[in-house]
Amino acid sequence: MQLSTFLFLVFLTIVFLIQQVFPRKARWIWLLVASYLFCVYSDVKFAAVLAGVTLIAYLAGVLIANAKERKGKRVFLLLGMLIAVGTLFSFKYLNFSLNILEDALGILGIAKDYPANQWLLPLGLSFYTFQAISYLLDVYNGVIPPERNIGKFALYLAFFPKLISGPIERASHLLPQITTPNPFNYENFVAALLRIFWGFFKKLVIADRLAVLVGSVFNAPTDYFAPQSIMVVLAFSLQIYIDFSAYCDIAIGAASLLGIDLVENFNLPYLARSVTEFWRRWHISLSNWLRDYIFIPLNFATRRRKAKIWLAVNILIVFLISGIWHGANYTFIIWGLLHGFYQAVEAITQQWRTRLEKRYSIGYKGFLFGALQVVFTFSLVCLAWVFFRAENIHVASSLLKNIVTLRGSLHAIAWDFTQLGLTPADYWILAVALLIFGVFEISSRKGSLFIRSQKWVLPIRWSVYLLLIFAVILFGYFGAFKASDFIYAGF
Amino acid sequence: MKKWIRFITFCLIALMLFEWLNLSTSNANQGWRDFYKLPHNNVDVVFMGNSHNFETFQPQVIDDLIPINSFVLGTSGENVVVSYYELQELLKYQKPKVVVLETFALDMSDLLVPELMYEYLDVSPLNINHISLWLNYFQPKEIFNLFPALRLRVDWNSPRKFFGQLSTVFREREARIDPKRGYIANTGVLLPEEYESALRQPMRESGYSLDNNEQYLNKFLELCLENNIQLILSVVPSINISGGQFEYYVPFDYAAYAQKNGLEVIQMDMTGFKTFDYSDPTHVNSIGSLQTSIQMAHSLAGRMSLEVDRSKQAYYESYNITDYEWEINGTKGSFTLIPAEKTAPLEYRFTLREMSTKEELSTSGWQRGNSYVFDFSNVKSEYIEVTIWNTDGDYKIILNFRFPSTNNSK
Repeated sequence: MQLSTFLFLVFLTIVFLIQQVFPRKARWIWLLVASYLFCVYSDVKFAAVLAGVTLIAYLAGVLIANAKERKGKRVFLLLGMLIAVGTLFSFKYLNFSLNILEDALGILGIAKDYPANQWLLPLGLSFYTFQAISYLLDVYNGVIPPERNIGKFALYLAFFPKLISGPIERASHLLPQITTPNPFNYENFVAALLRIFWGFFKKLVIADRLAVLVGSVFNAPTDYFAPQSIMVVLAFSLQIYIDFSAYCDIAIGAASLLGIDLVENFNLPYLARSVTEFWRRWHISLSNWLRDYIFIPLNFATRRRKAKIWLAVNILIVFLISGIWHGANYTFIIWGLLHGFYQAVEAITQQWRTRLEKRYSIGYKGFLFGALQVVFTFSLVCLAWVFFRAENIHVASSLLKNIVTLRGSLHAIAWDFTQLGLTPADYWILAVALLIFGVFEISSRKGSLFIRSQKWVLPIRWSVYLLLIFAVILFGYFGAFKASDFIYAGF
Repeated sequence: MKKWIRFITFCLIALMLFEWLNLSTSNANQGWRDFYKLPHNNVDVVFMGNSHNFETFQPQVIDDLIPINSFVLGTSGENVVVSYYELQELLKYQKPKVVVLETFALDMSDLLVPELMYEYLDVSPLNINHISLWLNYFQPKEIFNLFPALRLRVDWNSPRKFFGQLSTVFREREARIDPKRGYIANTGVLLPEEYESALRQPMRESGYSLDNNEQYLNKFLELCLENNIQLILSVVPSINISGGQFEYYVPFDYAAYAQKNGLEVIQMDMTGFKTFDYSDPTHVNSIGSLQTSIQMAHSLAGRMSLEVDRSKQAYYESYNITDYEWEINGTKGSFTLIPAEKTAPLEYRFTLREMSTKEELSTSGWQRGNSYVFDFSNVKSEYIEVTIWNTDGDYKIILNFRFPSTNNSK
């Protein structure tokens, strides 16, 4: 069940209404039932995998806590993590690994064809596996005690608003809320509804339209030219941000309705002045996870090695893992390594750049310099997005070749954007919607507009709310409530 | 408490606006809307089925040729399951002597029903019949289909129709019944290369089961027999029905079924049909449907012991065309329609239109001449609309001709 569908709204409404019948401390029982119903609706086998990972992580957590010696704790930790990662590997990476092996053997002149595993990727597996791992590590490190109630622990992994694509919640943040959800608050209730509809607006009106544009060129890059390719790269950078942040808005809004706060996943990422800062603003729950459970331990392990190269290596390892986590394809690996490379260079050259800025009074705190940094960072991120979106390296390189060689730029046809699958009316709708989106993003810097708008004069706020709802209904793309999948649902 | 009253008031306003939108965007079949306006027990023959039915048979023509009252009912992609529920509904208001069921409603798996039944549900009243169809085929993921505003998209490239509907939806519904009586004209004209390509498409079956179709056809037949209605199956002209085009296509052995149950099958004679009688490989256009309707009138006349009005038949046959020609020279074009009957008092109106907005770019106005010379700018996004009118009557036919794919004369 996609979050941006009418069916999800119906499901959420039913869950919310039934939840009100339960006393606050028992609501987790109903939410657990609802979360598994949500999962079973997609496929009962997905629910079985989720239950399996839940059981393993729960038992491992209890055994880690009960083990008297460090060695014993470590054994249970490694077992738990191995099974969780093994499950993820089997469903998501087995075929890719076999392909790599086939390619490697092919280079050695050995022709081998391994049969592909036909299993579908279970809903949210990548996300709840990481949650399970973070839980086990936190229990092992004594950050949190193990959750002894298997039902509450199961809900920690299965909670349906965040099941498909996160945010990747920490046990220390989510488990206490499962035990004692937030009391009902009218302002938060309205803010949650607004946030859900804002997510629908972003997804159905903007992101799904941009998807048409992006798909037309990425599906056949050699049929297009430099200006169209550049536009589509920019369009994709917007699409992926708006699509994923829309999902998060719906997830966070839905969770808030049910008395649970999820962590924010974005903070105006395209205003970052460096790629390092970008990753503090983009998919925050994942980058924090990678920082806390991979980067910091790696740095700790190499703390005695003074050479900056080790910092760079650690960064590359983290982003290699990030790339692989996003998908089983060489393109994701390249995407991850590009981001790793960017940040490695930033880290190694940090002191030198700071000295340079001070020495030549570049005015690094000034608006113009900041703007240049933002543009430069955005360009680097866009370059990496080409690999993220491309189906394979050949597609990515064709598209980049179009751009680098300024292919066809002198011909009028290269500037014809009407051949990219969108009608003139779609472009107008997109332009207005993006303007609204931009204004919203900028206004949000002063605090949640979903809360602040409730203080506006009644006719104005009702008009805005009605316009939001009906903009989704009237301008939503692909039959509105039959929306295309969220990009991150494939992970 | 105040906050909740405000919240509920807001929700009610939103729901009212939503309902306004639902009424404005609904594409519920005009045939069904008009059906409910008919006097009771007024219809002799009902044609039922999907677009192969309601884009083919013209009651206006048939009723002019033979002394009957006929009506066309059906919805897009209709499967015989929906036809059965429609028959139950229509029998509350009409007692036809004959029901003609177009067989393509039997050739599509009922897996289509959950998606396509809503066009009928939009217009049918909320009663047991309506609810039992919905519940029988309800799928959670299709729940949004209940609301036309969520199911259908506004064409923002030409929003005039939408705004027009918004403003007229609450006006008193017209008592007037559209003279087409359920028929929906298909005005497109298949290009020669499309015709050739369609002929070459392989016949592919989807492999779905038709057990439910047979079950519901049995129920349909039983209902006809209980109400003394003669059920006739019809097969309309088509070039090629391929599984590649219709994902749920499974040919139903209607011939065997008809033989087993003593039913008649009216198979349209396609021998005279040309490329330009079709709008696509499986649908005739307004010219093709005129010929089919004349054939159907003769078939029904034979079975109901009626006489066909020959002078009216000649009137309708005067609309036949033998060919058409294009001449393109740079940005100057000429289009000629060649009528079969050269002495008929035919008038033509040629209009050059833009494809996406239907905007009129130039027009000849009504003229006797069958040619039109015009300036154009884009062969891919413009087309010629031709309206043909035999001035001995009121009947008009519209056909839309796309530019040929080469710049030569046709």
